[in-house]
Amino acid sequence: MNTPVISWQNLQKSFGAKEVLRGIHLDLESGTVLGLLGANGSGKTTLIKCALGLLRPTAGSVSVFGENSWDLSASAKARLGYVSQEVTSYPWMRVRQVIAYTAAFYPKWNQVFVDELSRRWHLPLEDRVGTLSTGQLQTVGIVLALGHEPELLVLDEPVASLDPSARRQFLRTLLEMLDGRERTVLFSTHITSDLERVAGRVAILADGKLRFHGELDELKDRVKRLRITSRHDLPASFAVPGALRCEVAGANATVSVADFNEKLVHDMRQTWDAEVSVHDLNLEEIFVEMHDGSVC
Amino acid sequence: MGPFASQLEQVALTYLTRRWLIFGMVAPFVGVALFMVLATLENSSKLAGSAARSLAVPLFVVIPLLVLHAKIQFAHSRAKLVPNFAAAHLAIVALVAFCSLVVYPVAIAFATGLDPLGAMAYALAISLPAMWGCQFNRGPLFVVSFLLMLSVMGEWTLNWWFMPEPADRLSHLLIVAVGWIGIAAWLRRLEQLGEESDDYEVPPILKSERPSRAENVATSNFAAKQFSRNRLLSGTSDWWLAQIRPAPVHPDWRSGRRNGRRLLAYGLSGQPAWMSALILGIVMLLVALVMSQLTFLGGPSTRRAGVPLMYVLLFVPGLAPLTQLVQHRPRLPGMLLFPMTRNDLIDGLLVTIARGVALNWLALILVFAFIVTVFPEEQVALTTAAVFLLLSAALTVVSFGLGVQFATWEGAIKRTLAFAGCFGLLFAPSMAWWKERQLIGDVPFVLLAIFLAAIGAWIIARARQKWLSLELG
Repeated sequence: MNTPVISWQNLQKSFGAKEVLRGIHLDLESGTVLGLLGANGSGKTTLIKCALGLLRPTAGSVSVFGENSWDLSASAKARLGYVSQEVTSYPWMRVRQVIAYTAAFYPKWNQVFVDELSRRWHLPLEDRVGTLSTGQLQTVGIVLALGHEPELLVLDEPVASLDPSARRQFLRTLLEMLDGRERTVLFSTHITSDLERVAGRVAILADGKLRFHGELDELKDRVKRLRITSRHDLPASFAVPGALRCEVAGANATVSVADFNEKLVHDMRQTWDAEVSVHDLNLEEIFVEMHDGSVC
Repeated sequence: MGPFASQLEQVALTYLTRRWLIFGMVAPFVGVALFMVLATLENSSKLAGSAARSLAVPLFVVIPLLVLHAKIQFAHSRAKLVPNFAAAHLAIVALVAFCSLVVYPVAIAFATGLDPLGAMAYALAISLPAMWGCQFNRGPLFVVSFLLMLSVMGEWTLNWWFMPEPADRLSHLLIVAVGWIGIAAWLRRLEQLGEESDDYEVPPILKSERPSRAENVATSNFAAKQFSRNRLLSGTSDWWLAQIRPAPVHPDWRSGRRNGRRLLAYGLSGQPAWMSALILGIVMLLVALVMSQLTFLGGPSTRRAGVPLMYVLLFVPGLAPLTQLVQHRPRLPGMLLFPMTRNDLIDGLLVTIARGVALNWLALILVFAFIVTVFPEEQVALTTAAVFLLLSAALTVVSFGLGVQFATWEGAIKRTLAFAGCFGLLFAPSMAWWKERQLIGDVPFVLLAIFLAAIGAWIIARARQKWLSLELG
């Protein structure tokens, strides 16, 4: 069995008395694109930073390429790339200088690829980094993270400050990089449509716990919205097992369920003497249902 | 309570709820009061002189803290967007300035029999350049303040400031008037502070505990502008960064480590360490020459030229890791992911900074040697010179260690105050050697140097461990 590229084992992380991550078990296998979703403050960035050795787990462990993430070797680091939410760079350097500086650390650096990316994103190579806009700085951060063509790419809200054209360019580049190559990507973003384009698997964090982890298609198969129309007004005791959200108005109810199956529909028809229609949800709707639901 | 009084109360809370700020603003005054009590107990006839010589010390802490706090408040969009923001904030700033520059010197003057107007003039004269220097992040203005502070070393100037002839009163009055015009102009400057202003940026060493994205952007813009504006700096930086060479294609662990550590110097500064040392050496040479030639202090003297050099000798080594590591802190998460181990990164940074400190130390020692040679007040024996080098090197090690240790702290004001306090303590052995070496002899200072070097090595080892276990994310 292959060693997972990243393995979180019973990870707990607290900042003082505040518990941010509570016993996370998660393996990221080689060649997987894992989308990480969660509300603000759910612990996504902390999960990522623990994996990169930027934060130390309070309990449990994280390994990357089989090494303890806190003490990663130089060779392990040469195989990973990271784009953070907020790129910080060397303000006094020109863009071309910061590229040369970063390149000099890596034994394998694809300058042709970097030149191509710089051209695509119209990077102002002669400008000093300190004068760049937030979006330009973010694109510089992306180019720097991709220049050594890492086996593992960790993206923490990489496109939040990019314009639509640059965001599209980024996704195109990412898909090109993934095409036919054994790369592993951990991609945290609130833009769920981006995730749907690139991610095969999804992990959803809520209140520091892993709420779901699995194939994106499996998630979509499991989370459904049901519209129930009964012949009589639905009673106050109306309830659906495994419901994420429930709205009842007279004889009608809209229910989102986390564990959909045909038996559930059949049982509801029988119990409430009702018509039940089943509706698919996209990833954004699933996210909203999971986080904003009023359970019945 | 009316709306303005309520606003004043809220603004005052921004000072009172930052405990290190309030400590920094109050403790120096308490320190001077205690010092004066001790001086009175020891010899009351010397009280006036002691008070005059120590009057400036709290102001060198309080005024930069005041400017810092005011800048943090005004270098922000809320200063322009929140209605009636300026009036209440400026009122509190003016009140603190009034207490520090009028109430304090006048109270000291009345308590010790000094001239109140002269004391006020002196306080304003030394504070105004420091205030504007802090506002615009200009070091030379601090040097002006520093030189004015040292002016009380001479008997004649001491009397001119604090026991003036009637004819001097007009000059003092003029200084006070100019001083308050300067403060009024500073308050106006704060109110007009805009994002495009050169002084919009808050120095990273004094920044709030957790800088916002806006603060980081302002810092970044400031650094870039410094290089864009100055052709010499820009040219030097381009030349320096052109020296970066690609990594070895097939590195073994040793060449990979060497490559990584070598590169860290480019990421720490926009210019090579030897150039910073050269600039420091030239500046201090000029300061020492000016000091030595101030004939109204009593003719050319190595002694007067040496004291500021000794100050700087101690100040620079500790300040270098403190400022460089603090400024570099936001970039460290990114650097930690470069292909090098955590140990290699931290050791590489410390070695790179230490190399710069050693060059600065060497530059200052050469200036010292030059001054001693040009203005020989006494025959300096080889052993005396050796003891000085030993003591200075040991103090440099301690100062460096403290800088590395304090840079791990998050609180900017706590960091600054701790460093300032230790700087005062470290100055004592130097000053003791400077004044008492002929009386005490070399041996105690050699032993002291060995002890200090051991302490310094211990502090560095502890600070290194702290950095290794620090969460950089």
